[in-house]
Amino acid sequence: MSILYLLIPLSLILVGIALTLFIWAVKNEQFEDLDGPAHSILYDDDVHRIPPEAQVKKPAANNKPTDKDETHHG
Amino acid sequence: MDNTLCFHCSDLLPPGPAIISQVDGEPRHFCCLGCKAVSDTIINEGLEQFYQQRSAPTITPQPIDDATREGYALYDSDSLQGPLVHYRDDGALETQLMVEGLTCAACIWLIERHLERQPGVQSIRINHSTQRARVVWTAGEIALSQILLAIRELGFHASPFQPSDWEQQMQAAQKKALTRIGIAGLGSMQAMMLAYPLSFGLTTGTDDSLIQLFRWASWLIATPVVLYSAMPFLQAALRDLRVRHLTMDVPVSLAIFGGYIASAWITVAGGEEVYFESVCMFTFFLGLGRFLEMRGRYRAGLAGASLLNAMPQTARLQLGDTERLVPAQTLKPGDTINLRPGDSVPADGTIIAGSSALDESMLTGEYLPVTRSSGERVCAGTVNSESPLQIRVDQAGQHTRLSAIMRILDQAQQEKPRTAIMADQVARYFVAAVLLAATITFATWLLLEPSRAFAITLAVLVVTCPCALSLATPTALTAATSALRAQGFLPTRGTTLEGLSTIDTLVFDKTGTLTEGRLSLRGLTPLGDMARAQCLALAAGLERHSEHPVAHAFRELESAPLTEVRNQPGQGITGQMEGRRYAIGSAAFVADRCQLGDPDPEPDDGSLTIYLATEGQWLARLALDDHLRPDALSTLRTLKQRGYQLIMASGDQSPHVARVAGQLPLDQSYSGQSPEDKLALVKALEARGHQVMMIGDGLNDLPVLAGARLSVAVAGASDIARLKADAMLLGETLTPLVTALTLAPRTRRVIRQNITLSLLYNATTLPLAMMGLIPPWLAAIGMSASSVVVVLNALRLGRTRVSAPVATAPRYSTEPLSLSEPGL
Repeated sequence: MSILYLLIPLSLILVGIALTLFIWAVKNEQFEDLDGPAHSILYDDDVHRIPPEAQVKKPAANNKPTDKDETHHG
Repeated sequence: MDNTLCFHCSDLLPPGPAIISQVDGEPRHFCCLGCKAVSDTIINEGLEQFYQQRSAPTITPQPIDDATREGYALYDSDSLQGPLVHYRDDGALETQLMVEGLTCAACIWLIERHLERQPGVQSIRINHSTQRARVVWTAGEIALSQILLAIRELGFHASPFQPSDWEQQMQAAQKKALTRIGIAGLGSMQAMMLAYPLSFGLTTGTDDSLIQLFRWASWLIATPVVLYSAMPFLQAALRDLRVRHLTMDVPVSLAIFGGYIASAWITVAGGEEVYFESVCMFTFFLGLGRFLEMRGRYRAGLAGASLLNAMPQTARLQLGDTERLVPAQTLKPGDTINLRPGDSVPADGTIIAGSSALDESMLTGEYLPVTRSSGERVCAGTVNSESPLQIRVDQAGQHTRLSAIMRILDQAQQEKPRTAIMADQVARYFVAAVLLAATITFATWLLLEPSRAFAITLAVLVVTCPCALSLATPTALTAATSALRAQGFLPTRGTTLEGLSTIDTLVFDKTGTLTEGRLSLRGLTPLGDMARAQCLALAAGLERHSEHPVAHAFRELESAPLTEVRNQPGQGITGQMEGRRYAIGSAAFVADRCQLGDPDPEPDDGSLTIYLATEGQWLARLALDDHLRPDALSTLRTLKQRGYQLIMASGDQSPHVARVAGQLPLDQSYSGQSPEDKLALVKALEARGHQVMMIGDGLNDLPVLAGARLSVAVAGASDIARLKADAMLLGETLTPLVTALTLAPRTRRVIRQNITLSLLYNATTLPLAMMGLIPPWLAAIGMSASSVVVVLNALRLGRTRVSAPVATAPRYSTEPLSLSEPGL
C-alpha cells in the first residue's frame, strides 16, 4: 500500500499536464468548430499522395458507372 | 437518376431545350446555365467528389452580372478595407467572411478546395457551426474582390464583416467559461476517484496517514476548482446579497465555499468526513448549466450581430466632374448622387436626370416595379433596377423616411411584453426553502449533537443542490434550438421558444413572404403562328439586355440571338433577328413599334402582362407575376388544420392581393396597408386577447415585427428586419414555421417535466439529509444522477422530426393558368 505514496502524487502531476493541455486547447480555439473535422475526414483529399502503382484506374467514359465502391478507391 | 430535376440544385427542369453537360462520363441535365457553369467549374478542378458527398440540395446560383462585380470591387477600396481587413505579423492579409447558401458540409469542402487553388490565397477555413470563413492571402497577388468572386463562381455569396465588440467579449467569456468547467470536470473526476476509498471504508485497518494522503490530495485538487471555477458563483451571490436579492447563487456559494473551508479544516485538524468531491461536482454541474445557457445566447446573438456589420451604405457623390465613393451618412441635402442599376437608394431625393424602374416593394409592398423619371421623388432603401439615375438629395441620414420607420420600430420594441421565465419564479421560492431548511437543521443538531451539526447542515445544502434545476431549462432550450435550427428555424432571442407555445394567430405579409418576391413567368399565350418555345426564346433574347425586374424572369432561359437591341426604359425592347424586327413590352409600345392595332383585351387579374410581336403580327401574350412560394399552400393548410387563425396584411394595392388570397386558406386579408396600419391591426388583435405571430420580410413590416408578440423574418428579408425579429427562417420554405409551432409546446412540456423531476428529487432527499442519513457519497451520486436524467430528458427534443408535406410546383409554365387552380 505504500506504493500509493508514489502513485497519487504521480496522478496529480498527470492531471496537471492534462489541465495545461486543456487550457491550451481552449485558447487555441480547438473547441470552436466541432462539426467540421467530422466531415472533412471523409473526403479523399489525399489521392495525390497514393503512389502511382497503387492507384485504381477510373473506368473508361463509355462504361456505365456501377457502385460507388468500384469507382472510389479506399 | 431521374431526368426531371436539375443535377446541381435539384430544382425542376424548365421546359424547352435541355442544358446538358458530361459529369463522370454521364450526361446530366441542368435547370439553367448558371448551374451548368458551376458544375463545369467543379469538374474542371477535379472536385467531383462534391456531388457524391453532399447531403442536401445545393443552392441555385444567381447569375453574376456587372452590378455584382462592381459591388465586390467596392471592397477593394481603402475606406472599406480599413476596418475589415487585418494585417498579420508575417505580412499576409486576413479577414473574416460570412458565407451564405451553405447547405451541407460538402459545400464547405468545395469552397475551401476551390479557393486554395487561387493564386495568392494562403489558407481558408470555414467554421461549420457559425458559417464564417477566415481567409489569409498575400497582398498584391490577389484582391479581396477576386476572393469574393471566386466564392460567388460556385454560387455562394460571401461578405466580409467585422466582429462587433459584443461578439469579441462574448467569445472571450465563452472561452473562460469553457476553461472553468473543464477544470471543474477534471477536478471532479480526480476527487471522486480519491473519495472512493474514503467513503467505502477501504482504508480501515491501514495507516491513518493513508487517509491523510487522500484528504490532502483531494484538497489540492479541489483548490483550483473552488478558487477559479466556482468564483463566479461567489461574486454573483455577494452582488445579489448587497441588493437584498435571493437567488440560487446564495445557497450554492454557501455549499461550495462552506464545504471547501470545512473540509480543509477537517483535513488539518481531523474529523469524520471531507466533502471535496461533492464540492467539485457541484461546481461542475452548475457551471455546465450556466455554460449551456450562455452558449445558447451567444449562438442566437451571432446571427443578429453579424447583420449589424453588413456592408456599410455607400453613395456615389458627384462633385463637379468627378465621382467619389462616400459613406451614405455624410450626404447632405443638395448633394448630387449617381445611381447605377442594382444600387439601393441611400437617401430621400428627387431625380434630376434619367428614367428608370424602381423596386419599392420593401417600403410599400407593391411587387411591380415603378417607373420614375425626372422631377419625381425616390425614397431611401428602395432599389434602382433598370437604368442609371442622377438624384439630388433632399433628406439624408436621420431624416429619411427609412429612419423614421426605424424610430417607430425602436419605440414599439421597448413596449414589448416580456414573459417571466418559469425557472426564475421557481428558483426564488426554492432558495428561500433551502436556506430555511439549512438553518433549522443547523439549529436542531446544534442542540442534539453539536459535533455533527456542521457536517449535516453541509449535507443538506449539498443534497438540495439545484444542479438539476439549473440544467432543466437551458438543456431543453439548447436541444430544441439546435433541432429547430437544423430544420430551418432560428430563434434569435431566449424568449422566442416560450412565446411560440402561446401563439394562436398568424399574420403574414404578402410580397416576399407568402410569395417569392420577384417576378416570374406565369404563362404564355401564343397569339400568332409561332410555337411557344420559339416565343419564349425570342422573349428571352430581347430581355437579356435589360436590367428591368421583368427581364430577370427570363434570365435563366435559353435565348435566341438578337441584334440591334434597343431598350426603352419602362416601356419595352426591340430587336432584330434574320432581318425581321421583334418587340416586347407594354401593349401600347409594341403596337407602336410593329404597326399593329390593339390586341385582344385580357382580364385585369393583377399580373403584369407584356406582349411579344413582330412586324404586322402579334406573337404572344406573356403574364408575369410574383409566384406563391411552393410550400405556402401546404403550410397554411396544415396550420389551419391545427386551429390557427391566418391573416394576410399587405402593402400592395393591386388586385394581386385578392388573387393570392383566393388561392390560400386565409381567414382575413387586407390590402393597401401602410406600416402604421399593420401595427394597428396587430394591436387590435392583441387587444381582443389574441397572441400574434407576424411573419414578414421587409421594411414595411418593421413596426409590426416589433409590435407583435412574436416576429419571424423570412430568409430573403432585409438585414434590418432580420436583426429586429425574434426568429429567422433559414431556407426558402415556410414549413419550418409548422416545425417550430409543433416543437414549442413539446419544449415547454419537457421543461416542466425537468423542473418537476428535480424538485421531486430535492423534496425526497431533503428530509433524509436533515435527519443525517445521507453520507457525502450518496449526496454526490444523487446530484449527478438527477442532472443526467434531466439532460437525457431534454435530449429527447433533439430527436423530433416534424415533416409537413411540401408540394413543389413547376416554376415555368407555358399554359395559361385558370384562376381557380390553387397553389400555383
